Amino acid sequence: MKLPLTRSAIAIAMAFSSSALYAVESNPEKDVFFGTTHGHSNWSIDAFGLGNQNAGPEDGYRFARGEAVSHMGGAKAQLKQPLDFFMMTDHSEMMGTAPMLTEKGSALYDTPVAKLVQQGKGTEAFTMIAGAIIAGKALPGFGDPKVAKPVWQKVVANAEKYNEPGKFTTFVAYEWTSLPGAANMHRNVIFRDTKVPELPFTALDSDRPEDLWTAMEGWRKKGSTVLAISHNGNASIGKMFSPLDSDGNFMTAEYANRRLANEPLHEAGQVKGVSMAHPQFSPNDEWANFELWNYHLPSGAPVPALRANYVREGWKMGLSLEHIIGVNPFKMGVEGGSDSHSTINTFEEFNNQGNHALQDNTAEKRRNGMPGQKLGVKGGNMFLNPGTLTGAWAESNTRGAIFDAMARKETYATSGTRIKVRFFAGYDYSNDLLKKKDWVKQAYAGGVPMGSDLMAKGDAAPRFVVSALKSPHSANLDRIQIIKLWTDGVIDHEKIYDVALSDGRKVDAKTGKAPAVGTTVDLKTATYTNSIGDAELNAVWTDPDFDASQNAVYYARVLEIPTPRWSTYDAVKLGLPPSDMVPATIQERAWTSPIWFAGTTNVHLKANPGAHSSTGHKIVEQGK
Amino acid sequence: MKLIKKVLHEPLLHFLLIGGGLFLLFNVMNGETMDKPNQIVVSQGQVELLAANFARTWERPPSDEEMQMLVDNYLQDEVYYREALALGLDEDDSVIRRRLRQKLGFILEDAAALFDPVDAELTAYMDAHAEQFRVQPQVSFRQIYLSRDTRSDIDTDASEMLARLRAGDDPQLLGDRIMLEDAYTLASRDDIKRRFGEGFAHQLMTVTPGDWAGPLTSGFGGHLVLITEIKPGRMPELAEVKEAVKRDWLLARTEELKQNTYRKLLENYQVVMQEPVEPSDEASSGLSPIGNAVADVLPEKDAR
Repeated sequence: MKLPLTRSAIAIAMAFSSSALYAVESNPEKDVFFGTTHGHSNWSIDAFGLGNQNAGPEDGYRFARGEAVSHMGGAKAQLKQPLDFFMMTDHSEMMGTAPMLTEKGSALYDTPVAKLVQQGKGTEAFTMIAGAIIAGKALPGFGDPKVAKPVWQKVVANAEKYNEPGKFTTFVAYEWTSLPGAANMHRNVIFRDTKVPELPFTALDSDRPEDLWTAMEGWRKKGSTVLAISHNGNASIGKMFSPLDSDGNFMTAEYANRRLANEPLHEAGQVKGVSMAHPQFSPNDEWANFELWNYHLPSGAPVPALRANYVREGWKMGLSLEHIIGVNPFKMGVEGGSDSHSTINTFEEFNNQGNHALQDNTAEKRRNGMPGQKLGVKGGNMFLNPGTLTGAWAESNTRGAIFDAMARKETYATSGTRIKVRFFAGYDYSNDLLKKKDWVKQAYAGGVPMGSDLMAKGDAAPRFVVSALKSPHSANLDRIQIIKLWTDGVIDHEKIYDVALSDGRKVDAKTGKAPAVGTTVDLKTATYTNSIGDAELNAVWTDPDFDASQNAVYYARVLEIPTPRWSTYDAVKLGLPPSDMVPATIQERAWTSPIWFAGTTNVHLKANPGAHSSTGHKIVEQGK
Repeated sequence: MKLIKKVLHEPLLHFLLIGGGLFLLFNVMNGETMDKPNQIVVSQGQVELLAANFARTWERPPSDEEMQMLVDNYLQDEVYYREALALGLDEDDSVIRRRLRQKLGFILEDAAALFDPVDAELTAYMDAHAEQFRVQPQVSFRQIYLSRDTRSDIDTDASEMLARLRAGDDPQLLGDRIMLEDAYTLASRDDIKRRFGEGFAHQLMTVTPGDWAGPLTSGFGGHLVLITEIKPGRMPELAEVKEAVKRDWLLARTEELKQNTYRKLLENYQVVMQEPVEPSDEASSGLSPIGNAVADVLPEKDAR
């Protein structure tokens, strides 16, 4: 008598999300859907070590779709605004074995990791677990594929269970937790459907991204449609956007092409900091210093900022690398994740519940750290944030549409707010385009959206169209900026243009600066009003410094007016003044994926027309 | 010891579960039990399995050298495994214990998934959790936006616009641009909340259909609205929400089955609590004793 029980569970779960039975309306002009690509439950061994012992993946899905869920210590938490899509990305290494750590009176009860967990020293337990992953070795007893397989099948079944096409989308996904030499090279691996391999490829199989790509390429041959998203460039010790491959050799065109084909996006920010830009490399950008987190991941020691840790620098260096190897390896879009290890992901500054289980689940712990923990070192809780969000421009809230948006990079990241932003480039947009009712249709027809390439058209200067709408749930907008990056072949450059300002402000022609928007924040009560700023900002813009011969990257940044940082909401709860270790207010924001302009001197393009066409289509096509 | 060995060789073991009772059937499918104690047979099937596992990870067959390593590794596994069993190392190993518990838990979940509830059961569950399954009101409406950023007095402008609309002016030509639609078709309350915020959604539900009204206020500014259709909220027929009801019903049944099975199994044991040397925190966690067990042996929430 043979009953394939585990498989039958999956089959039943799959029957549940019978998306084919229900037609979901498709909007060719696309709508934005907000979600996250990154979160951990107690199935992740480090989350368990940090004290998240009871909240499993199903709790994560239920929380994301708006239900009140118990988490640390039994407290109930609920999102003010549910997400449109979500995925659990538990670490594939030792996946699902974590809850086996606490068994009284047993042999393992006395092992170092278990002891640390029992003593509530989650950070130290995490360090030990991370150490094992760095060394490429599972902790004794934890690396058994026999353990991983049924757990992986449950990962698929859980995602299936909560997927409701048109309402709430989930994905089968996991985190490949590579830490070579303690450099964060993590990737979240996401599948378009349930055609998935029998087992995930883990960092214990290999910590080299090239090997992960090989595995992904193999899965595609067997019918999977899959992409990977790298994250925490800020903790990569200069490796994330390095010109070197895993062997330390200068990258080849083949390496660059494989990277492009497998990794369309980078996670712009998450609870452990924003990886977009750093003041050291952008000294003239007064908004570059935003939720930075410069620590060594396993030890928590402060580290210097390195150029190859940041997305903007990666985009610049990619232009230079294209001159050398003929391919731009760093043509990734951006999206936002959380990386919460508490199963729940709150995003909202006023609703921060912490992200590292028992390390930061109360306002007291977030303010003062765990007993014995010194603030300012060990990546103190004050420097964390509630996570970032992804906006995906998709035809419908379904797996296929949202995955394809990620694959073609028509996504953007926000610091947790739900700003709606569209960004296009083309040659024939009229000045009054935005006044037309069908402007979106015209924008698609006459140009390309965020995440795309725009080819030179003689010496003509392209026009950029950007439109941003505030979140109905939060603050007004301060400004839209377009950030231009380019290289003259030797040195790379950046320039920031204020293209739309609220409240009728104008850029001062002499200084090139716009007056600050001001602030309405009352620090005593952690409140603000929308009496400054605008609900919507728009611009049709032409680069005044345009040079058709140069390759360039353009992306938009949308800033809200100042609002209280989460730590200020906490301070009010605690009856304390705002912490002086961190800013009391922040300007929440959105960063779009760029549009890459291919200049007339782009030799490679001339030789290979079409070589730059979106890698996203390749990802999707290969899987079909 | 043999039993544990069998349990670890998952494909050899099949559990059949009927109702709350639990039967373990051991299906010895190969000759492994016939091995001599000091003989390790590396069958061709085993070699193929090793090669297949390698290929699954690396998307290519192993080289001869790698194959040799795989076999060496397998032999090491087997030798250590047997020696460890001989030393009784399995008996107090929490990883093995928890792993077995997790596997049994998974099997119970799978068994629960095979339950095929009749509609009456699902209907009863749906009615008992009515708020969860209620179909939200849906509204079709048109809207005209009034920007606070460009207008000094929204209320006055709104009154003028309402007058013009009632006089037959084209709504398309009125109001300010915004990245929202002019018309929404049968939008649910949640969807309206998502796009316009909670306050607007609440106000919209109080508007009388058929006439332009407003201004309503949202996080964006003011809106004149015309409701063209309302489908009031209602309790659905089971068929409309069967999938969701079944999912939640199964979740509840799974928890129930796990608890019941555990309690039934526990009845086969006599739990002897030795006098505590000192009071323990766990004993006061508010859990009530079940059968002849006490709080300290209740299962923790399972690692689903």
